Amino acid sequence: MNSPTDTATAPQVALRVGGVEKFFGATHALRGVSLDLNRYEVHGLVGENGCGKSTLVKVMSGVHQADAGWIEGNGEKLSAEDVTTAAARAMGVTVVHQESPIFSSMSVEDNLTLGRKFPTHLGRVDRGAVRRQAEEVIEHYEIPASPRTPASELNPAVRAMLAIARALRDSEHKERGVLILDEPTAGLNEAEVDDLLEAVQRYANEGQAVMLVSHRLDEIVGACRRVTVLRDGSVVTTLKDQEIDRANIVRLMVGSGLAKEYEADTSRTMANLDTPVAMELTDVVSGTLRGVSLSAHEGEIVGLAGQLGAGCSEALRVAYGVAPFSAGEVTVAGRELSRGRGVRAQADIVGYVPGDRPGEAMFAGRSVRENLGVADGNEYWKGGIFRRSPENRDSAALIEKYKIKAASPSELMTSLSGGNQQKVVMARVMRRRRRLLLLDEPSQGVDVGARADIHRSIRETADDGAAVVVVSSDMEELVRLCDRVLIFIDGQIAGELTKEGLDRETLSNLIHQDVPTGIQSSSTQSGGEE
Amino acid sequence: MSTATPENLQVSPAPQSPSGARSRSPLYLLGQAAERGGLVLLLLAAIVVFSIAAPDTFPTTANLQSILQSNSVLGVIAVAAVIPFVAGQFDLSIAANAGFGSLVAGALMSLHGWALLPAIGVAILLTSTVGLINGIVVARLGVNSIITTLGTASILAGLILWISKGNTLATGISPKLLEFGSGKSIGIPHVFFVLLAIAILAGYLLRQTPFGRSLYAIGDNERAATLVGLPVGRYTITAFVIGGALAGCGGVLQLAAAGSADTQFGPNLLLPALSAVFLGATAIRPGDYNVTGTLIAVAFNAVSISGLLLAGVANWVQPVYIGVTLVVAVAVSTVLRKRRTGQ
Repeated sequence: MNSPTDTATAPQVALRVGGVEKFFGATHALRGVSLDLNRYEVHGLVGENGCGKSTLVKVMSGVHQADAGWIEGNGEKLSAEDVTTAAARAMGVTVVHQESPIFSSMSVEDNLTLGRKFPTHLGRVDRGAVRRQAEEVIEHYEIPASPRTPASELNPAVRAMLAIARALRDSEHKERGVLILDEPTAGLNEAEVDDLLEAVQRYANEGQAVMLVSHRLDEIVGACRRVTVLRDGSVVTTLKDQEIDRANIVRLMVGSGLAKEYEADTSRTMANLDTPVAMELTDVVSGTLRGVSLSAHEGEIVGLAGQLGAGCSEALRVAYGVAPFSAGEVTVAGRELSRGRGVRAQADIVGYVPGDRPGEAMFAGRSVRENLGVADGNEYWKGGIFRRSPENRDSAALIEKYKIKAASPSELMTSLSGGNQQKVVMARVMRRRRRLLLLDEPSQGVDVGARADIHRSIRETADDGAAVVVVSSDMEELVRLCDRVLIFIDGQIAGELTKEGLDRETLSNLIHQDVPTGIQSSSTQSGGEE
Repeated sequence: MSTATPENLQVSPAPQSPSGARSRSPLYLLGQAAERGGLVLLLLAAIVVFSIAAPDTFPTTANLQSILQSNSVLGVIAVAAVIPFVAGQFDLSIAANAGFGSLVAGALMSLHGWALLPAIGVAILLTSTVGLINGIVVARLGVNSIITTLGTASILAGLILWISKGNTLATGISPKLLEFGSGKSIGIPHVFFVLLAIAILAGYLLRQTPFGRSLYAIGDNERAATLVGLPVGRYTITAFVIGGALAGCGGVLQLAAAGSADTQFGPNLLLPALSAVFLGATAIRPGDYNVTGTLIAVAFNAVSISGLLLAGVANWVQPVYIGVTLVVAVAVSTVLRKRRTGQ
């Protein structure tokens, strides 16, 4: 497609991409992609998992060389085959990826100094100069952190800002470059997203052309002046200003016709909860939990909402038996878990999806088939040998059911896109009947269409009689999926919303309420009504 | 390097397959086959080259028998090392453990007049115990496996000296064992049959049982394996124990083949065994430590060394050749894997 011509404001094009083609083996990942990035603008890039977003970013930043096409920036036009990382840098392109390379064990100032030369005095690192430089950067980019804070203590939004500041600081085009942010808000809650987007807007106002790659359509709608929609490696269109709305984007991403169904709301009112309790935490105290009581009945989907570190994920880990607790009682599916150190995953009766997919949920170097069947090896072991054909058949069926984009069941997990990896993890947990499902960010990185499929499967599991507990930083997901939602603040339950009162704004307000330390304990004991 | 050429074709654009990821072009499959079979081709090429270079001495029955006879023990130790590797753990004590087993069996017969079977049994029991200790320290205490097994290897070297007083034990070894160790059936050395049996057993364990499958998952991501409910600690310990038991078998086999228990044999085999395991991981199932690949790697190295010797190449060329092959093969395999997965 041609570059957008906007006669009214005559935008300054900072980077122009034309006709980019990219193959991986037999996979045609990008099919003639063209787009323009303008100065002073935030430009959204959206599309379903595996549509080529990440590949496009890698081509634009010179990590991958395209097979055809061209890129023009900073007065230079290069064949896309020749764009190396150095060439991309010369065109002003700076990329910050979703897993920002921030070293947790180091301080803010050391993180900011890494990658360039440490200032030295008489051959030793000059700590004073390191701090002064860091302070300048912190001030200029308005980062709410002090130089000596260990990066491990920063919240994810601040970490992302730190990564962006470092990347921009190192660029020769501090003010007038091209800043590409690849899923910068993954895992951030709404307040953190707002903080980060505000910072991003500031960078754009200073003259950066910003490209924001994200799955979260609401933030795309809120933050972007233009939005390019990719589908199957091709640009569907680039939307401008008032054309940008959620429904429109969804329709373009998934193709016409299917969009309505994808936006379906599966949550329902659970009037009578006389079904047995599948999971019960009573006055549990652990690392972050400070006296949490909650229960989940068979057949219901309970959401846990809270800021990062408020204890939602920890509650799941305690219930799964992999986080020790020092006081209280935990019962899952009729089994009482022992307190203290003897932690053991309750994998036989409970399905658990951890929030940290690369670290805790997937086997990157194994095939999709092995990832799907890793917990069910015995099922295919008959008469002393592994029965591969039933296993292949089951894997293929799961791949079909969860719409996993994989060439075959034997494709390596690492060659799938992030969203498809997440689908594999979900399929592994959902394939077996469980009495309790504990899901931490079940649809992270998954596109709108597949998310609806995952939600539907979760609902079916609940209808089959399982209790489901979901933790999500995406309020939209909790509203659409859950029958009731518990609000976590600072390791305690601060309230509950049932279906009737459940909406994004209320939820968002509740998890961000300022509860001064010392007051909350009295107001939260009930853990019941809002 | 010969594997690189067909594989390179596979990464270039394949416009004839419009359906993208779901299609498998013949070119792509050819590339995959070349990657899997690269080491086999290399082995065949080495055989052809050396047959031409030393036509009178290399391609003879006697030389083939000698290659099989003198490399079967190495093969057993390499197979033993594969199992902890699959679980993501190094066992640098595996060769010392084989030496320990050889010496214990030898000493029990030679110095204490034990009968053959009890001596073998106790030797393998002890090498398995060494594996158990390695496993417990690694899996339960969380000590890095390289450090643990490096320490164990040193301890074993000390124990070997203590038991043998530095002597080679050559007297009083059961004649039945010696007869078996130097004998042949249908022209094939007995020790090679033992290697085959152990390789089949190990291959079965890794490929055809839930245990083996779980071991590969543990080796890939231990934390995730724990969270899906696999008994990570127990399986890791078991992997070390099986490795130790097989190393013990290798030790006894060495005693049988060499006719004596030598203090030096174990440690000398560590690097050749590890290099075969790494080289083997580039073939058959590229990226996975696997038994078949390891055996082919042992064969490749053995054929090369024998061929170089018979072709009259200077001594120093052998280790250089083995080292270059290892690094080049693993490098090629790493690059191919990166391209294939687009990482």
